[in-house]
Amino acid sequence: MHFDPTQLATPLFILLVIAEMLFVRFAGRGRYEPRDAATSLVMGLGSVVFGAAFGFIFVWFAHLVMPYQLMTVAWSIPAVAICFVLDDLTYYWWHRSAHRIRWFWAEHVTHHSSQHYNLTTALRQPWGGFLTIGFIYKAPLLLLGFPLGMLALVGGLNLVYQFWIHTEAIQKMPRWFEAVMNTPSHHRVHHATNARYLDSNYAGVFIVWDKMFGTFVPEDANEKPRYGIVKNLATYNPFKVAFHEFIGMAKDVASARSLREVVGYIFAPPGWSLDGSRETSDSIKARWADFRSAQSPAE
Amino acid sequence: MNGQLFYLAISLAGIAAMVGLCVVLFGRGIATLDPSVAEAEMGFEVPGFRPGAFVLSADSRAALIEDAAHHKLYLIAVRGDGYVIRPVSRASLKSAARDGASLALRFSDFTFPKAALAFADEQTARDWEAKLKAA
Repeated sequence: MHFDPTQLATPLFILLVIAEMLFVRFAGRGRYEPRDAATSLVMGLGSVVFGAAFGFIFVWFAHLVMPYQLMTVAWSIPAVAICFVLDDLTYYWWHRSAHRIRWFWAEHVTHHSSQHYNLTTALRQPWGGFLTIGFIYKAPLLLLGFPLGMLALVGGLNLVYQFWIHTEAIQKMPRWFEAVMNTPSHHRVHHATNARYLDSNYAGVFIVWDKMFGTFVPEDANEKPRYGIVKNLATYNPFKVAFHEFIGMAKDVASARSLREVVGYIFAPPGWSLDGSRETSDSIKARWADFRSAQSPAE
Repeated sequence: MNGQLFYLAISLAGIAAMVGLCVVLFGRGIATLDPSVAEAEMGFEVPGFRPGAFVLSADSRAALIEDAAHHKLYLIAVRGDGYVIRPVSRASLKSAARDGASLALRFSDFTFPKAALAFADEQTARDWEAKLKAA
């Protein structure tokens, strides 16, 4: 049986993008810019092409792991439901790593590289997953005995869920929903470069992971998110969008003068440098906190 | 193989249609710069930013601005309907060449390799060339 939720949902994605464009145009909430949207859409298509070309690496990896499975989980609705929840937990940790370890960020930065936040941003997907092998985060689920097909199914459903949360058209969902699920409001915070919002809300489907692991930040009505990355790209070239951070990392490693520097440039948080001359999200947050306390010392 | 090429062709046609609709609905969406916009952008980018010297290119697409609080120079350039900001320092600036009233800047940044700013007069370009080289 071949059931690919992402492929099946593609016509719906297109209809929703068109509906959102019309909403933004006539309701005035949200932003679209043609070249940005074109880049996002091309990145989405490219990720499908790269996924098809290099998907065999994940299958090969899965077959390496599967002989060590602790048990065999049979296909059933409860099994799929449990797999979906556990997969979302592994997604949380992968995603957190993707913001805190430059190796994974080099791939994931693509998704954050738009200064817009609309449904096309959801489709701005990386091409370099085969380089960073982030799928190792799926290994625990394989070892628990979940079939490869089930992981592919729940991974696809997770991706489909995350599509609709990339919008400014929806302000807040009902309170109970906001409490449990990832929503446009929570995910806007995740895509924001405002110092107070940096490195937060890593959830895929269930925001409860962020609440459990201390990374949840609610959207503040008084501070509108500004989207993009700390050093926004000045290009729409899809290849540069996809691989710029890999090239930056390679250049840094080539110029490193010690093993410590090599390790730091690959595995430390994005922006790390030996002399501290560059900015990481931690240093930006610290500088912002200093500025705020200087502004209002009584607080 | 034919099926995959068909899927690719349909996808590209779909992308072209969506981008076309985007152009129809939103136009080309080009931002422009003025001192107040530049200061607001810098205020967000650099906590504690205090505006110092400022110069806007003749086409209002790029500006050089000094942060008087931290004594640093920045380039702010229009990108689509938004802006891109880069600090200008000895580490980031590869060269600054003046040609009459224009300045051509080259950066050691793969995603922002160069910028060209044309000013109203040659003296302005000369003054900012000196500032950039001293940065």
